[in-house]
Amino acid sequence: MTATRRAALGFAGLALTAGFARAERGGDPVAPLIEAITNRPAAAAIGRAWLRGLAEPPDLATLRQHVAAALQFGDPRDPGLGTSTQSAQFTAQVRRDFDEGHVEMVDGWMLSRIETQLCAIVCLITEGEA
Amino acid sequence: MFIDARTVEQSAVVETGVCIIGAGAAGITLAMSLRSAGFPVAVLESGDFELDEATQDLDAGDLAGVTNYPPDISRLRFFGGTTNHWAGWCRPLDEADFLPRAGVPLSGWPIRRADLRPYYDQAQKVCELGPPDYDADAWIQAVGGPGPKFDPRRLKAALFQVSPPTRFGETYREALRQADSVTVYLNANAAELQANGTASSVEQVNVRCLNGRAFAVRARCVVLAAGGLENARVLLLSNKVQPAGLGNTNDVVGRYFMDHPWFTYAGIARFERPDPKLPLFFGQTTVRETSVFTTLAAGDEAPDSADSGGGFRIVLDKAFRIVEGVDSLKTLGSALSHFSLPADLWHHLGSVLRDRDAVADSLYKNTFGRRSSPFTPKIPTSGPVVGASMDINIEQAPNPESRVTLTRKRDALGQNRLLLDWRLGETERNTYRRACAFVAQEFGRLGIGRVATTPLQAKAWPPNMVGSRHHMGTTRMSDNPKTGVVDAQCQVHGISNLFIAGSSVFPTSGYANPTLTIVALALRLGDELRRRMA
Repeated sequence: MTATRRAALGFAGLALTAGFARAERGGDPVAPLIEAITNRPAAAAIGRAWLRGLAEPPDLATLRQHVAAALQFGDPRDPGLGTSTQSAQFTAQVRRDFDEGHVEMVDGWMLSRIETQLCAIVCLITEGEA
Repeated sequence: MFIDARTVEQSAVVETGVCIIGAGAAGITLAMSLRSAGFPVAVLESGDFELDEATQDLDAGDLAGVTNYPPDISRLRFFGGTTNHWAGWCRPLDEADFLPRAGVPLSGWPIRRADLRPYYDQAQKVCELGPPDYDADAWIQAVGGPGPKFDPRRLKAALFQVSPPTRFGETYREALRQADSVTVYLNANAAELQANGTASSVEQVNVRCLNGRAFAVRARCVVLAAGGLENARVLLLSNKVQPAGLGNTNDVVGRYFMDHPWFTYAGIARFERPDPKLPLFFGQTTVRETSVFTTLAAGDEAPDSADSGGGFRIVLDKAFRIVEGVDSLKTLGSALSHFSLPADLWHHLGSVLRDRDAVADSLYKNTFGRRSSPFTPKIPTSGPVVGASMDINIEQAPNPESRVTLTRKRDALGQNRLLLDWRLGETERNTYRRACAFVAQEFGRLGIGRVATTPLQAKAWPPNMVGSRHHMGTTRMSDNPKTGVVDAQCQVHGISNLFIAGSSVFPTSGYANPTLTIVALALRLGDELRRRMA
């Protein structure tokens, strides 16, 4: 409970909130999830802490693939696939991760694999933009 | 009636039916249950009606091993015993606690919970509790449940009832005073159990007072009810016939000492949404005229394997606002109270400085017990619950190296003082890890929130871990004399008229507070003694 503890204080503002904002869907199925994160610095801090703890941290493309695959997104340009569906998919996957023990420990916090990967994506995007 | 033992004639021999050594929860319960049994009962209480420094000093001893409370702090040596400062938390042991478990070495009682069931029911009244109902769901429904649907492979809600708390020495004093068949000797220290030549029975209890007075009590049955540490000490001190101590031919007396390791502020939870439905989890609530609360505990279907560990409970304390500096302050305070520093000292100091206003506010309220302080921003004491801190309290597995022995130091009666060497091992680490994992998984799975817990270091136990002042196991119950001091009837193996009451007979401890089980076992022993005395 060190570096990301303060970041985790803003965790409730992360993608776990039910209200996923409708976002641009330029072919990236993960983009709406990222857009919905209200506290990106917190998410980036969590992602950074997790990536630092890995011997071989994955790159951005790999993480995007993992998240998309885990959520089994359809074509993001499909107008029938609403954000509420994505929200439910994400939430269900988070719950499933915890149930099945697919979790990551980040500075003492137990997080689901999918949300940790999402945080790592935010981190890599943020650092890439910097 | 009550008699000041210091006034008993020197070298007198008191004849009685049953002699009970100790007037705490076990001794008083037993005396009450036997007061109309038709035979005389003598109770030997070391102290008087009030705490006396010289008498309390007889409890002093040394500590070794893991940090624990000094023996003269954790116990009270006057009429009523340690119930004079207990908190009153009550819960029977679970059915599983009586069974052999792969995760807890040497587990399994020679009796089952069903054997104790009628006595647990009676114990509710003795401890001034509500109905003998510990179905958490039913209580939660009564306050507008339902609560969370935990996966029984991980967690459950464990309900506790809270005694007023009953001060046994006050509540039952008048009844014992009026009981013609019961004589309570105050200021009477049981210095030695004098056995016959073959150590097959106790001939008399040799009593000594701090004023030098000495006399003996001869009884058909003798019951040691002096507490989890002192029961073992009295046996070890009674070494004239059996040099290793009475009832100790197999070197079991004093071993297997257990407490409930308590990890204060072991974790924090941040809720996904304010005010999650966790009824009865945040402090005591009066429901149907009974004070109750619930904790998280290991689920009834939790896996049991060699490395699964034992039982645990997690006590939640709600947070209305998340302030990391206050979290850090609590961590620092816990460490400093044990004369140590947390591993991530600089992180915590930094947090305290960053949140100094809130920390000052918290300190002010804690110091002066006021809800408001001149500092801002204030930490709300009401409003939406956004998180919780967690204390983790775990079962300790029986460990023969965790033990009570005698030292060369002497007390005022010339008796060897005790050394408490508390040992914990890998089973407790497994239990702690499992508690952390289960609560984090279930809070995540149910969408309650996320949990951070303090990982254990490789060897040392963290400074925020101490005992719960629940002394158990030192004269444990077992059908096998090689692994236990008393049998299923609480009779000391091989000694026909010596019995033991109290938590020292617990073979395993479960996660519940011990007093209700102590009282239930004392009531059961009362029935057994009535049969033996008939």
